[in-house]
Amino acid sequence: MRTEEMEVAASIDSLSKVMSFIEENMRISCWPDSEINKVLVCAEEIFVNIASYSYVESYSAIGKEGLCQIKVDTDIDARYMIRITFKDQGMPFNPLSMDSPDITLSADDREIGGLGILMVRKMMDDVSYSYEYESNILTMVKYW
Amino acid sequence: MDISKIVNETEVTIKLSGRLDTTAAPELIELLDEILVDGVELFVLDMEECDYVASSGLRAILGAQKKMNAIHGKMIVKNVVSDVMAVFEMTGFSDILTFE
Repeated sequence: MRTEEMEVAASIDSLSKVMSFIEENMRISCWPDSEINKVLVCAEEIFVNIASYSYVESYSAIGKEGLCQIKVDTDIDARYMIRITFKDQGMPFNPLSMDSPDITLSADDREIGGLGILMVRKMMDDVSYSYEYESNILTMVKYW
Repeated sequence: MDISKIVNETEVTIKLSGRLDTTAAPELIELLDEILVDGVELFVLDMEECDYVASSGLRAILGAQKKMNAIHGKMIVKNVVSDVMAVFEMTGFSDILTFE
């Protein structure tokens, strides 16, 4: 098992840094491009949610920067595994508690929310959320 | 992401190259707002060189489809690569878009 960690400002400006960090970790263990893309899409959805909503009410008013800690565990022993853990100290919020959008509606009736979490649920093998030590902790796992 | 456009009188083609992610989507939405106007009969979105679509990109594409419906035009999405088609399928977008 290999573990790498990083901490960034919980801001969209950090997105490319976060994407590169995860991609590098997957490239080291030679994941195929299409699996890397699936994991990156899911990581982007989770990070963008944190950057957009987690600290909005509590921090922006006082001009303090919220942080996000990201841990990547990779394993290639029995089968390829990547586990990404996102941690932030913003508002308690479980993105997995949201209802999935109705994906059978016509274009005109289609709502735009919830698609990101839907993609995460479908593309990752396991997604879980907990709130511990005043932190939102979202963990997602992908096998290949 | 690179976005190139070809505008003929009633036909608009946009070609996406690279990743349609949260950083790129606002630029695409802005461009679509500007060029999908009354009088456009056909909008072609060429995705041959786009291998990554985040939900923000899906929102931009859905917005374009809604706009074309509103102005009674037709929208065609073409040359979609398999990874992106998988995203369209899992989100139900394959049912609301027209592919070529």
